[in-house]
Amino acid sequence: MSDTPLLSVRGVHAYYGLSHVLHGVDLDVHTGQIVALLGRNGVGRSTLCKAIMAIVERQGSIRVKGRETIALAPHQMARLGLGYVPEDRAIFPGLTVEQNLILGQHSDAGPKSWTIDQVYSHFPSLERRRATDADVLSGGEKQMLAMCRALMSGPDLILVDEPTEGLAPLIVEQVGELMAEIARTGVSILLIEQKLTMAMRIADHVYVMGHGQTVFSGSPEQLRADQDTCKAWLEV
Amino acid sequence: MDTFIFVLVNGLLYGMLLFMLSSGLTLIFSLMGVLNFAHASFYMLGAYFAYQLSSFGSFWLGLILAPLLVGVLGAAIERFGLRVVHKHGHVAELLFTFGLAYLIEELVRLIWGRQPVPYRIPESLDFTLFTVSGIDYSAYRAFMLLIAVAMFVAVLLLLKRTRVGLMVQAALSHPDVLWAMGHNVPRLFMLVFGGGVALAGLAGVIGGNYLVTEPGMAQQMGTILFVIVVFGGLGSLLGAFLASLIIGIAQTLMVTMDTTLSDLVAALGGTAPNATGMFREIWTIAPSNLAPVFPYLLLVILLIVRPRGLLGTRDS
Repeated sequence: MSDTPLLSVRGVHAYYGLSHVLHGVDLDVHTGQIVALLGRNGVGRSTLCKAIMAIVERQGSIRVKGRETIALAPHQMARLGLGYVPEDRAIFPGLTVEQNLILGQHSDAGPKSWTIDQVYSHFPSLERRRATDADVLSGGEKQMLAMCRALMSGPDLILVDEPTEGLAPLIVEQVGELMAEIARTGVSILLIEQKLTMAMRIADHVYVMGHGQTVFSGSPEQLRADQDTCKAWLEV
Repeated sequence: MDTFIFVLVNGLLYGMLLFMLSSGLTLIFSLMGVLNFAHASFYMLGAYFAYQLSSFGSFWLGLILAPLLVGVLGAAIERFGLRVVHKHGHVAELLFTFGLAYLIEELVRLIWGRQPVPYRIPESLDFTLFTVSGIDYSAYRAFMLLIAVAMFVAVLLLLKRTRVGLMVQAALSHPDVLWAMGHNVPRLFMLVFGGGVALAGLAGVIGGNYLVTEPGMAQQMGTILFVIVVFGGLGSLLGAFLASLIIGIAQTLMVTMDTTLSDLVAALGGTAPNATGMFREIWTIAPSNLAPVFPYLLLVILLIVRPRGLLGTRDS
């Protein structure tokens, strides 16, 4: 693991218009790590994802591979090696599965970018539905497509926001396996998740967010042992 | 029957001309949420640029260069005007395009004057292509139809078969996500705005000499354009296409109809009532008199029974 984090977030504030949502978040993701970002609904986890991708107004410091990126636009963040799988999956309706994948690859995609055939060889179920309108896929298939789409440009890190939301327990397990498989290919993951069991099982490091700030940072084991944090910030 | 077919073809031609304008307008609205009040002004600029270029060289020079010039101007306005105003919300954008329409109209008056300019059909296309039942069909009308159909096919191919087209379709639903996937969405918006107004410019090039090139032409076309995009459904390209053809054909058909309600009653063997009193005009109005009002009537009815328009997805 190199000393310079792949992603380093320091004192990040984010806003929706006049609404101040993030109040100075600190977070690191190192190469090869799966980092889980936990917390109750509404504490600002999805906003942090959007702030990292520059989709919402942000202030503070966000470094990617040591480079300051706070002034960059979303497409420039992606071109630095970040992939984004949004909360609602945001599959493009009216386009086929394959067209969705094609759009996953931007014009600056480097040598690490995936080909459509590589995606299909890893995920054969997508190949079977390559010509299907992506909007009619099941929730699990849409999640798989959204993640593969994010992999197409060969990112170093993908930000995955609530991948198991609305999915059946069996599919939740499959999504967990999918992320573990992605991590094995050398891609780091920043995972925003409500389902603690799955997140704690696959994560190398865990952050807990509360009131727009990170309130805990440690290993899954440390979090399990910290009953005060669990009670105060995670239990409903 | 021959006359009817002629009228139908002319209506189709007018409808296609309307679609050249409404397609860009509806695409810009769907993508950027900007209801471009100045859209018809770019149609006018296309006609004036083509007039100017044809006075330097030939009509063909204008046909190629005028839409390009309009497109570049539109892209520049998006980049340095709309994009800046965008930060202040849709109302500011709306007011910006509203002001732009007036600005362009006044500039046109300043440069080319208040009277119509002699923008003429090119000599090479100024002949009768064929005559049926004593009615001449001009080669220029056939040329206009050809250009309109070619543009329709080109836009369709661009949207369905190219990477840029895929990006446009994707940006219709999730522009932020497309942006975060590494695609330069603001540049895509600029291209769509430039391309959309270039299509309006092309309509001006081929329509300006067929109709009249004068400073009021944008206002005249502008109102009907909004009827079409609302009638077709805000944001629906197919809806705009259907609405353009329906309004184009219906208006052209109505213009040729002189039968009044009194005539109709008489033809059915009845006696027309005395045309007196408050509603006397109804018995003597011909459909041709109602043609200009027809689209607005259609709009009002549609807004009551189906507010989202023919194929629109939004309720307002």
